[in-house]
Amino acid sequence: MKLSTTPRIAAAICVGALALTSVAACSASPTEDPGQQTDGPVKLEYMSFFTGSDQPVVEALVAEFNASQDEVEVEFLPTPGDVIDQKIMQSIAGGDAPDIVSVDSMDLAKYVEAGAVQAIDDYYSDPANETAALTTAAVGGGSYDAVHYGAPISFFTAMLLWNKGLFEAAGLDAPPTTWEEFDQMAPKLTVDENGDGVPEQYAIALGAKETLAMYQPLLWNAGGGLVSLDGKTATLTDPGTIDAITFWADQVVNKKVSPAGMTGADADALFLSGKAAMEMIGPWAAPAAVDAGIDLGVAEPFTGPSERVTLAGATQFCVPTGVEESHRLAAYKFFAWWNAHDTQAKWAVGAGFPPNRTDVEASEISDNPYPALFGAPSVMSTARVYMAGVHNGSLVTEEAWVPALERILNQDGEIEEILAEANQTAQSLLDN
Amino acid sequence: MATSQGAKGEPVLVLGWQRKRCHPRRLSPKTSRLRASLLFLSPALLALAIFSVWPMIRALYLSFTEYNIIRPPRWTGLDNYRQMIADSQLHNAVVNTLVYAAVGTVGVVVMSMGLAAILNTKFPLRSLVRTAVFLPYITSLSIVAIAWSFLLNPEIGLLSHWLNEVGFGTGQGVLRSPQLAMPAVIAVGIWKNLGFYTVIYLAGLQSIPRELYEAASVDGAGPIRRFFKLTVPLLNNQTLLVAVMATITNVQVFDQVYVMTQGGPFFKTDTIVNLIYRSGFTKLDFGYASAISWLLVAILGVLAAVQMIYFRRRAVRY
Repeated sequence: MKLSTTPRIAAAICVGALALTSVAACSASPTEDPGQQTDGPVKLEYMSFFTGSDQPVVEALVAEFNASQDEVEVEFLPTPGDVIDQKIMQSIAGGDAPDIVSVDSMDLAKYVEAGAVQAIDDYYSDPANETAALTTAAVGGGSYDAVHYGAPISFFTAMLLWNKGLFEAAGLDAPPTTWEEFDQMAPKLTVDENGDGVPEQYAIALGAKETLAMYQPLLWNAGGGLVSLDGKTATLTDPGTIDAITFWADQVVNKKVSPAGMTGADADALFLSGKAAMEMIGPWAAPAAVDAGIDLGVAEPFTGPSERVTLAGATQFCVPTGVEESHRLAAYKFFAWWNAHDTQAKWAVGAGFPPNRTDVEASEISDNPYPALFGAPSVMSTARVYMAGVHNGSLVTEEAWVPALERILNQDGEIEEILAEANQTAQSLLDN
Repeated sequence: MATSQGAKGEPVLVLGWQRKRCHPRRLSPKTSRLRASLLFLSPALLALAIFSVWPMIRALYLSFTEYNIIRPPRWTGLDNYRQMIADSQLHNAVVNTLVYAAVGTVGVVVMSMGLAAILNTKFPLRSLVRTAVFLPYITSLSIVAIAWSFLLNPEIGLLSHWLNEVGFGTGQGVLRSPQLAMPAVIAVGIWKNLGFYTVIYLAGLQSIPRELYEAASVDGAGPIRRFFKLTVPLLNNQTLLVAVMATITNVQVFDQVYVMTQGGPFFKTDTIVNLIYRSGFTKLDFGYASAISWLLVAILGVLAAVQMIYFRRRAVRY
């Protein structure tokens, strides 16, 4: 069919407009960089997932940094944790990345391998930044293949939070310190009032997914784990892993010490509502528990048959790919200020996290009882950051471990077989 | 410019535009209609081209590459499509999606038609009930999914508590159960969209001539017989529309799965779009995610074509 002139013109206009739009979208338009100016401070955007109770503390510290000098000005961009990865990657691809981003240590390898963040070894080589005073675990969480990509924002350990009221009601006065003690105490703390097989009160809230790796220290404490210490080999079929998961699956499935397959949010809600006597969680949960009216105790997590390893985590300041050098160097000033002695004391008191530095004395942070507990020397000496520097570490968790754990807790096969399948998946992810 | 003759035969200067006006070219009705159609459609077509067609073409290209959004795409030929053949997670997601689409579509067709028939009768507070039925449709799906997650939470959920009270305890919880999670997600999907499809059926019901019902009554047909022998066949056009729309919506299910179960427990509710999201934004494998997206397009195309062929043969005019 041959079109008359007018439809052809209309079609040509459409095509032309489309082409123009595409060209306009693809061309490197000289958009104004808000941080690019000749006078005044270098303006930096800092995108962070600190959107919970610690957000006001971060905001206050950022404001204090801005007021403390006139060379660098940081704008804090709080972004929900479940979308921050997506936003960071898209902004880097679009050439509009923030100058500083928060990255969980577990995800650092993914960012590095994607080419999304810059190496910051020069930050660590400058003695003025006092990086030697930082805790080893916090610094290790920002390294990959012996190269520094992150400066610590926060460091935490997972401690055993326990509800003194529920323990007292069960005739107990202290939390368990070993698996054996847990096994003895749990029946007293697990209450099924109406006998329907679904307890109204649980001994512990163990989250299986979308959470801190609550099961992970249990595996470590039996000599097992998901991956070897060098992060190269999946260890889901190691005897320690099988023994640990067999013990805890029995506790959860048969003895009902915890609901099976909870998310982290479910576990938190259970503990905060007084329906679970214990939870292994980070320092952010302690003030929330007190606010919820719980008579709170904080103890070191119980040891396993093999050793005691305490779960730790760290978050890092990273500089995305594409951020120009002047902004990266300006960001170093903010990193150094954040990790300075006085700032870390304020951070610890305000947010309840242990300080990133080793030289902050307990007496300096005594206004908040939790940093000293979560950062006690006996805890720090056993702290291990989960999946730090492990290639595809977060995928090993999400694609191999969590489905396997859910299958085990739903009795969807033999434990050894499920773990063998998961081990294969994990190893292929590590090798990929 | 040219010269012509006036009424009295004198020469008159005629400008080009005047000549054109005096001798308009006649367009055939078909061409005229085509021109008008194109003009009216052009804004929508332009938007469609920019926001749908171009991304689809781009995704087709990316499906033949390895691409992590940061580095430039690297051509890998058919590798992503070969990977799809061996990917058990994809096979699982396709099966889950088809189950969701089949149950969800049949469920929503049956329920919205039945609900429309009820809402088409007169009863007290009818307007209020109609509003209540439609309300979930205009609520954000994420909000709906979050609300249902709380309601179904076995430890703190109101609905779980009520079910426990009447002896239907869900134990570890609906959304954590490998048997109940998918039915729960489907139910929420049906509940969310029921109001919209009910409105379509209501419009269809109100366009059926009353005489047909009167004639059926005279012939001795009762209400149930009239519904199944008269109403249901005469709503075939609406059923086609609802079935196609519901299928397209259901095959693309993502929001409530992402919020309510994240595809779990152990991938029992994982769907194609959830896998696309995970492949792209979690694994940063946008090439593979694009390849799966094109598989989704193919599935949608086949399902829509089958439905169109089936219902076209049963289209009604009255």
